[in-house]
Amino acid sequence: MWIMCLTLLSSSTGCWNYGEVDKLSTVAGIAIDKGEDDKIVLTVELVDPTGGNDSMHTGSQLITLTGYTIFDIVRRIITESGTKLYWAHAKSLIMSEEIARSGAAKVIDWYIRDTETRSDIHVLISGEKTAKEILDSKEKVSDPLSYRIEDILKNEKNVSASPVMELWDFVDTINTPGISSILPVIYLKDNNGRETASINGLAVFDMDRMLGKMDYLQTKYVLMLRNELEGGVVALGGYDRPPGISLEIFSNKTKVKPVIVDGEVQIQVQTHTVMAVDEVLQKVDFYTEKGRVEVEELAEDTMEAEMMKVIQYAQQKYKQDVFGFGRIIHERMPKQWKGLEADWDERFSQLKVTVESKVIIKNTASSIKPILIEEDDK
Amino acid sequence: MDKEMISRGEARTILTLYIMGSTMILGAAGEAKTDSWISILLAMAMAAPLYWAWARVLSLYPGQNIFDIAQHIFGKWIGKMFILVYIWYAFHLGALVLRNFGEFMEAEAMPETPMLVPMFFVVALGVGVVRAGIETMGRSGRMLLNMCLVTMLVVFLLVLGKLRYQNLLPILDQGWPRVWKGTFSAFSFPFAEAVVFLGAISSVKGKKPLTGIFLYSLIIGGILVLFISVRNIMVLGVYTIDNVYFPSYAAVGRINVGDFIQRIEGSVSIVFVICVFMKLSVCLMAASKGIAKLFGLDSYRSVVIQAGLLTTYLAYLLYDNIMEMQYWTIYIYSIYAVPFEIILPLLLLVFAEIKTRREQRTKPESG
Amino acid sequence: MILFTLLSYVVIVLVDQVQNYKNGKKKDFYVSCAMCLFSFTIAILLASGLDLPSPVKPIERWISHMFGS
Repeated sequence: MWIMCLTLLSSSTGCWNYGEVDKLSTVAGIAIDKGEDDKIVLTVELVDPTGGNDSMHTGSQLITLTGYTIFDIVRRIITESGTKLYWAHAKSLIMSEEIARSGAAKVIDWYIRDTETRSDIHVLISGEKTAKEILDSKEKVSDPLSYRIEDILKNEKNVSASPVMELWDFVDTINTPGISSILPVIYLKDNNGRETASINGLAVFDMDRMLGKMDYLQTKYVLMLRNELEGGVVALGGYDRPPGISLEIFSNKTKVKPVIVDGEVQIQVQTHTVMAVDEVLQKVDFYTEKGRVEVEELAEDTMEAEMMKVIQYAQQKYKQDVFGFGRIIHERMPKQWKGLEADWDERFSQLKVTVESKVIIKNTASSIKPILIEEDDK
Repeated sequence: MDKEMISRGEARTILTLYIMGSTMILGAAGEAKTDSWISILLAMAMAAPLYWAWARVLSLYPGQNIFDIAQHIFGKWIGKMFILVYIWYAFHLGALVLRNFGEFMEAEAMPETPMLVPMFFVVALGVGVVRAGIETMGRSGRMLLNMCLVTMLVVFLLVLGKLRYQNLLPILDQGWPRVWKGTFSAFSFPFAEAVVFLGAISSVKGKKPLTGIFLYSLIIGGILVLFISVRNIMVLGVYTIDNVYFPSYAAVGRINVGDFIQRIEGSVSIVFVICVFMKLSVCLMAASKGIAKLFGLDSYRSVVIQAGLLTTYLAYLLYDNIMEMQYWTIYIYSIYAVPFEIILPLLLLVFAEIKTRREQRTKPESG
Repeated sequence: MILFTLLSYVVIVLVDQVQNYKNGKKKDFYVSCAMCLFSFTIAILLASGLDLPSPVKPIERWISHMFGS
């Protein structure tokens, strides 16, 4: 009886009939643009196993089609690719600014809803006129560009020049009141005659409509305020400006606290950043106790100022709470949030925020002092 | 009636898996959104006295299942009506659970396979197990429950990075009305559905009271349901959890460890299939036993195959599409189930108590 | 499709009904036969593509009428 039971059971474990794997074309990435007459232009970057420079790389092939809805276009791509598309390995989705400004939700519903696509795909906004030209760039001599994009995004946490957004996170934040969505922006750059893709800065959204951009420096502090900063460099001064120190960010923890002051809700931000001195351009004392504390304080002041600047920028230029302050108020002070939710954009722009930064310099990499220790007496 | 005994542990296992049932993939108390964990706990508390009442009914008449008891108490004809109503509920519930499974297969796993195919497979298995007897059910239940627990643990470890406790905040955001709705819903689905289990078991080894089995399963099954619900909320957040048909599937789908371990939604399906299988088998068993008792048959085994077929057809016919299933589950079911889950068993209990008291009074008291 | 249903039912009858008959349980056999006929009818109707109504629709309508949510 027991054996019969077991054999019966083993016959039941579901089989997934995904047949014909070799008759599919793998999609590496897609680009969505606006076409004429209300149409959408969809470009897919397909992995081309016959292309590529050597056996280690695969080439890529682009197919562009126009249509009225995304799914309609996707299906018609079969007429040009000859095979059904395999979406599970698609890594990046690029939208043109035009599409983003008129509402991103329209074009991404299909991707979320369909069962063959994976919604962990990375979303980006094209900083060029169209999204297609990013994929079309002559960068792609070997691997499909979309995979290169993924590589860049994977290492983004060491730079923090742009946010990394998977599609489902993007969709979640669109609908969450009290936080505005942000997406990384991708550009084409001319690097000594070669076109390369460069990802930096972010796009600010009101729900699903893009309003504008922020540069990579602002992005770093936006990420810091969102507690999404994991690495990067803070440069104090520079070549000709003292103190000329590069600090590497090892870790950052941001605490956002809503408080009530004089009957109104305010936000207190406290950041705790652990850094190391990784470069010194001037002869500066950072290695003594006193010197180190001075550098720490300088870093703290600098970061506080930058954070306040970016908060004010978001408040005045866009009135969008990209930092998620509203969400935190909702979570911690639901009663107050009820009164604020309705016109949060407006209230956010008036919100009083204080920022306090604490920096701890834990080491100075492998050298103790700067190269020049003694000053030439002139 | 066949006198099949199962051990206490086996009874507990079956009931626990039964309670988990299709809640594993559909979630419980969805109306309460982020506060559904409160609803689930409240529903468990509400169900406890009900479970105690059921155990009591069974203990008053050891060795008999609910159909025997009904006939004994209500007499031949009313008893038969009672049984008829119960058979219908067992059929309907089995069909509902089967349909949940079919819709899931069609929507997420195998969209191009006609729904009847996976449904038939599960039913065939269910029929096989029911025919083999309740001991087989118990023994397979042990193994299956262990598989479920292991899978759930592994998935939990993998999902740790995606858990965001803030999704549970703010607590009681929209106040209590939502929570009460959720409680009522969780009470009907899945906790009070265990009433069908009464039709499946008749005798349990040992002299200890049956309440232990029922309450144990309620707590363990309830905690597992709670665990899954909380995990889903912490991964998905309030917006997404409202927008997908199968929250567990969506939540587990987000697991991506080192780009290597991903797309493991299949494992969620394992847990789902196991729980659905067990619940369906219990419903089939109850329905078959009911029919056997109704017509005075020799053995319930003679009707299981047909019962299985009929359940499958019913499952197929229930709705035209998944939206109707959604509507039914959220709005209609909790109300519809009340007579079956509460009214009838309570009537049974009340009359059972009265009757036993009367019998004890007419019998000479010993000691 | 209909042929498939027919064949399946032949197999089912062989396994189920015939066994019941051989076991000599008269009542079981009759009830089981009745159920088989019923399920066979439904199967054939479904296989021929007929759109059978859902038996729970009236329940659904009654409840939403009574409790109007």
